[in-house]
Amino acid sequence: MAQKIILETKDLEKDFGGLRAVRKVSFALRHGEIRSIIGPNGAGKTTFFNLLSGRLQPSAGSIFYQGRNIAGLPQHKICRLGVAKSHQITSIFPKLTVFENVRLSAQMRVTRNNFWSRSQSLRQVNERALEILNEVGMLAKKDIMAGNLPHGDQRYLDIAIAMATEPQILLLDEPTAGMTPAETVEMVLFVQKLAKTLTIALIEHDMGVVMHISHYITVLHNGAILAEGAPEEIHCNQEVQRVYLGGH
Amino acid sequence: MIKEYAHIAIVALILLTLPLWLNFTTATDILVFGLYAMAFNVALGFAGILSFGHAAFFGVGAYAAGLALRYFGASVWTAIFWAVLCASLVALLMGALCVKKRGVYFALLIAAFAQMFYFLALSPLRFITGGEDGLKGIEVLKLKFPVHADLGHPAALFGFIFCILIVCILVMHRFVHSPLGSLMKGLEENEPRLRACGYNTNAVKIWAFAVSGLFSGVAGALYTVNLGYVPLDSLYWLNSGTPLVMTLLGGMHTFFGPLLGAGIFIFFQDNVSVYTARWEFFVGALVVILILIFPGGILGTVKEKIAQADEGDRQGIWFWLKKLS
Repeated sequence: MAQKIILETKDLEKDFGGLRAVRKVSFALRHGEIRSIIGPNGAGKTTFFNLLSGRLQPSAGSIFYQGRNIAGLPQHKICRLGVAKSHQITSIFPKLTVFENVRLSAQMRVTRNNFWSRSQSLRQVNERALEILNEVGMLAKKDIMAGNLPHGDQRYLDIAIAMATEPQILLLDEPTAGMTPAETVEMVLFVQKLAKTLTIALIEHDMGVVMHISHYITVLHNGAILAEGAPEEIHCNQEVQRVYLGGH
Repeated sequence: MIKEYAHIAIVALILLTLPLWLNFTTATDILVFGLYAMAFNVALGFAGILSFGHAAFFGVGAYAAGLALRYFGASVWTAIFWAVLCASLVALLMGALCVKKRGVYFALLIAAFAQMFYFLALSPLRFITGGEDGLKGIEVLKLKFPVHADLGHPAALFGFIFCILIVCILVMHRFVHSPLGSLMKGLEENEPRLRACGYNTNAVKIWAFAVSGLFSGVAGALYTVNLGYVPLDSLYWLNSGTPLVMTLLGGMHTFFGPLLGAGIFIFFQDNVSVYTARWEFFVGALVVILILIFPGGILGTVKEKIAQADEGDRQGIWFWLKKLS
């Protein structure tokens, strides 16, 4: 793939006290690809995602998004620039309806501090929210309280909320966590559909999913990049085999 | 939407009947503290911001209005204007300074700030605030615009405060249903998620707090107009707890709950204190009992029952209430 790079990190580091969770990670994400980040537990995958989304501030290094250094920007600004994330532990607004969950997020592109209009009357926002609910196949459930949804639906809602911010890059932290095999297949198809319009990076433990879905794979180990390559290369890589795939 | 305005109209009608079965003093007190509690709940119930220092906004509003009336011969409207300005600025500033703290830490920090205003009025500024005696010497107020009225008359005073309360209710209602109001809901539900949606949650918090302080300031100004003087107690920390109790009593997740809570609280306070000086004991016991019976607050629990009403149960009272609402 020769597309241009949309997101790039240079020597990105994150320390938690004495623990170095991410060390000198230089990583490049190309426009339109599906990238999987894999690695054993504690490899620093989620921390790395949190650095990209601005939830955590890097200790050192830089993050270039469309050529601009975004390291150190607050999370809400990074989100407005077009980097959104769904969460490993589902994060939704449980006591609001499904529709309101997505509407609240879609509102961001239209108005942020309007204190006088009626929220329900922002037509553009309502339409966008319905469109997204349609895309994730939850239109029929729009009036259900989000906290009452089954687990699988909550995972989709989390992604729908992220989609409503109209991102260029979507970071998915274990989208298939806790799903049945059938649900997992559906999620894979869904992510592939999303990839037609978005650049996607995902953290995933299900190797079947990873090998099937990814254009390219990055393997993290002890906070550093161990290997990078196309799925077949990673599959055959001795080092990766040793730390992660089979041998313990 | 029409339904919501119908609710406001019904509440207004009920409030208008208050003087028929209570005396004017109690009825007017209920309006003032009802506004205070509703303003407090804009922060607590709608944005999830707990504050132990709203007495600062109420008291600053009361003193700002009182000082304008006492020393500058201001009209009632000018006095209210100053109360709004001072109270919202104080709330904005305190909110901005404390916004990085969460939950109880935020509440206590605000409480500490609020006590500063109490001590300021108590001693360093005694020469203008009257210190412990409160701010006295405000002449009987006359309303000149839009109608001429003598606010020394209990009915006129009630009518005036009623009108301001209704305007405040309409504006607050509009505010909590605005896009910013929706963000406040999100803030209460899941702040990290809201931030991940591209919103500056600290700013949302500060705005919610400032608006809450603004209307508390209006309540403070009305308190001054109502009493004709400003007691130092308006700034005391106990006065920060009053709207909290009223809100919990009425239901913090409802718009009108705090108003109902204020009504019950003031009604018992005024009536029990006739018989005993230790009215706090009895009112406190009553509040505990009511909260045990109605865990979501009175209006909150009623709303829940109505929402859960069984469609088939045509005999049930909740079913008919559901039809009505």
